[in-house]
Amino acid sequence: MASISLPLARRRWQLNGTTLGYTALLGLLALLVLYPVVMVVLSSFQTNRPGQAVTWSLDAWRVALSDPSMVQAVWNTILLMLAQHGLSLPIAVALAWVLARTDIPGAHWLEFGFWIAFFLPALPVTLGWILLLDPEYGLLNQAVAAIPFVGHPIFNIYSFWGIVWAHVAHSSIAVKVMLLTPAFRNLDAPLEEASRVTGASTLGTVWRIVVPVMAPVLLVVALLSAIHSMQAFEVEAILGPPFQFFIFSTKVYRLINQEPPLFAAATALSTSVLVLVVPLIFLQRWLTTRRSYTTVGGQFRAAKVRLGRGRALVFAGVLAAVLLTTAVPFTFLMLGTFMKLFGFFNLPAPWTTEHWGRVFGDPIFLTSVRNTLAIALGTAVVAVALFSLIAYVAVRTRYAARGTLDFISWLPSTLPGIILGLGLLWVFLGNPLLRPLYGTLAILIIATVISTMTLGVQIIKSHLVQFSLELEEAARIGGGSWWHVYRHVVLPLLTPVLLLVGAVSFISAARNVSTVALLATSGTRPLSLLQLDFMVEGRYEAAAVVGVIVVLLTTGIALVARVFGLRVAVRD
Amino acid sequence: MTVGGPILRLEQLTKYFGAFKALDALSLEIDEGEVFTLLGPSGCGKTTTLRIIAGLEQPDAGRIWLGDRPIVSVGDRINVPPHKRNMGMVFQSYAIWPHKTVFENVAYPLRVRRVGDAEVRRKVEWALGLVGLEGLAQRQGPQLSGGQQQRVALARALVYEPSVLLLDEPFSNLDAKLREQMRVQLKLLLKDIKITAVFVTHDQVEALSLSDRVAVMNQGHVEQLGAPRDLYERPATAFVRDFLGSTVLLRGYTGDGAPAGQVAIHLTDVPGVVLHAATDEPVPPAGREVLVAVRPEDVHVRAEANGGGPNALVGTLEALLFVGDHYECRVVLPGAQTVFLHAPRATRLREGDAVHLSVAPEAVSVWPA
Repeated sequence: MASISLPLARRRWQLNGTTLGYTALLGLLALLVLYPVVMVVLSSFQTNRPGQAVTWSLDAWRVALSDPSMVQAVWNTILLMLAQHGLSLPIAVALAWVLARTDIPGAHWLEFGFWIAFFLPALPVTLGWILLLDPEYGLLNQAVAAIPFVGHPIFNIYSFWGIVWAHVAHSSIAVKVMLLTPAFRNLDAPLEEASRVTGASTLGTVWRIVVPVMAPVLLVVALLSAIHSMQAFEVEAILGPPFQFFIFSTKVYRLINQEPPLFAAATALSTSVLVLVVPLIFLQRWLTTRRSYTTVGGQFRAAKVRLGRGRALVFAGVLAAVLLTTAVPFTFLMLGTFMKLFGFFNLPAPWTTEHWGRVFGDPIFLTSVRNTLAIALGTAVVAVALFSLIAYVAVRTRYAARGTLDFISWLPSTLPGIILGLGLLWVFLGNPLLRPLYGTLAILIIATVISTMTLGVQIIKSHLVQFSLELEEAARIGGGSWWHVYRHVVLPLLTPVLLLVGAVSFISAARNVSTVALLATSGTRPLSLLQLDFMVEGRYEAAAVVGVIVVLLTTGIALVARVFGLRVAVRD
Repeated sequence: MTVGGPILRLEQLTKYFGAFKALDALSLEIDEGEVFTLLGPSGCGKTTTLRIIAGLEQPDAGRIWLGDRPIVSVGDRINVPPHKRNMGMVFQSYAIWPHKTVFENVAYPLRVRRVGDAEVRRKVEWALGLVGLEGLAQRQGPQLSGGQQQRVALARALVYEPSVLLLDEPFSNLDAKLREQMRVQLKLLLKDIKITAVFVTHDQVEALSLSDRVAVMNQGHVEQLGAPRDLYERPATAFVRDFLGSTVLLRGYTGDGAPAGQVAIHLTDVPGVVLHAATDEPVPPAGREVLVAVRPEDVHVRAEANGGGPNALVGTLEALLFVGDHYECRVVLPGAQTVFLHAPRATRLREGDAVHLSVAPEAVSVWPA
């Protein structure tokens, strides 16, 4: 190895300087990610509020385990997860196979549609669906009620299945399609062709060969989705309370936001959810590191399966799925901003533009715009600097603890946002040194940086491994110091990727609700939370205006970033 | 060997990939019971032809008949899907399903045909016996070596006794030693079960050694069709001549004085040397510029002179390369042209020596310049 031949002086310099730097980075990361989690777990055994004298007690756990509403919240979380992914996985498999393996027209654009759906923030989409599926004034319900022999509304968005629908029609299918389509595309085509030549029909082949061969990939995607759905918060925060339905995140939010706040109960509930997530984390780690037997071929360009007469029908189906996850909710969200009374289409003159004027004249709104831009830009800058360092150390150095560093940077994707927020709240209120930061935008930036860390680091890592190590070695042999090489060789090579990570972090921060929900104050409240608050207050028209702006801000940036090849972002 | 009438007829097949014309009005007839090979460099359209026969690609124009049944006719919008053509196919990558055992891989075509369990067992045992894999029925796909995977793929393609067996470069993923063994085994097996086989390869040795007939393909059409030995000894086009084996090419012009049935060629770059070439065609008038082609192995390279007369010349042995079963020699001819030739392993040549070359008139062919 290269290090053996290095002169002794060089080695000692590396030990003293560089390794110390790496360890400082590891320490910072542990402080950001592990400290809040540890605080959540520890404080569940305390009854004091953050910052007060510590009093140890098992009271919180006694309450958490005996209070039926707490147990119910955890149970609801699990039920919702099962229903949502049980429905969306088969649909996503079918969609991904059609997009990747058949001659469906416009496959590229349809896939792009799901990509858009993935970037749409959940809250505005939910608002669009309320307009369609509200039990009383929902347009779809009114249409159904007008059908003879039905005569009454049949849908209700404020129900368990309403919440399932809001998730399925939003990101649940889109994420899976985005993950599965490239996987189906890479599947060795002859595995499928061999089955068709030996006598199985196209659909028979999908069922008997494609799905079993892809089983390990499907399992990983299902697990990723399950872990991801632990992030759910805002949809349930709007649709759940009207019928007394809480999942753990909305329950935690309520426990903290009631008077007096029940910190101990909230932390105990969070801790028990963490215990539930841990086996999923290890299962996913184990599955992804195990060699999957999906063989990647590509000696001959894979011929697409001909859909024949069914082509138009399949196209219509996929297009409907794309529209249901993008254009339909967005159109109704947009309509909602121009309605005198949200949802009441049968008023004499239902249309108005006054909400736009009122919202833009509202100083609270303008503050929130400033906050969102500051948080998103701040997150993008910090993310690019921090994530590129982490990725570099994890991939390119022989630092002894680089595996640990990598693992910690991967953990936030498995941390439910509300728990991370709760942990940070505890850290910033509980530590006298950090307390002055509470109520500033900095704390929100820290929170969104942590929550976007996994994706950002993964993207940079996957690009770093493609660069030849010799590019750096040449510079270092030429006499450049570590920092000089990093600044003048590594960073310039990574520029396109860093722009990409900056964009992803910007979007993620601008749409974040669950992580910042407990940390924002009235002065630092971003647009995403303002929309939530408007909705809770029943000001749906104003909420719709804010929602449209959040959609334009996030999806707009996503479209710009696609120019820089954002497609790679979806592989991890 | 008994060969019946045509079982597969390809008429005017044309296929585009974007603007690239992969097949250009290709027509072929493949007889029942023969081993037919499509041979050519990559991009010549041979794999596309095979995949069109299998139904995995659709031509832009043309027809295919299987026996007296049309399975493809672009004009009549007929295109029988692959699973209804009753063909067997061995893929280049073998495509062994990793989630199934060897037994279940081979049984799959029978299962989709809803064959009863007892019959499935009997037929799979027969097919595995055919390829010599009786003991490995319970292995998983990924646990097999390359040679074993190839045999599983073959058993899977034969188990339902298809009317035609399609083989797409079946040896390209095997190492050289194994390739030779499998070649012999496949030839014996195909003759044993008397199946019609269409075989695609870019390797001339495989094509020549396995086939009853070979179609040499180039740029989407057939350059020449014939028995392997005819193709090698009497190539009809320069492409076939150069693709099948190596050739020594020398410039010359026609002259007089050759015996009947032969033509005399004066070599342009080797002063004073005349080669006689056997020819069936009328002798061209004197003075026409031509190329003469000789297979290197047809030139005798000796240390001592052998008579003289036409078709003998003297050169200098510049380099002698021992490659195992023979020597390869680089010989400088008078006039400074160099040629690559073969010499037997038992030769006593040394680098720098004068060497005597001779070639039979039958081994010299004349081509337009």
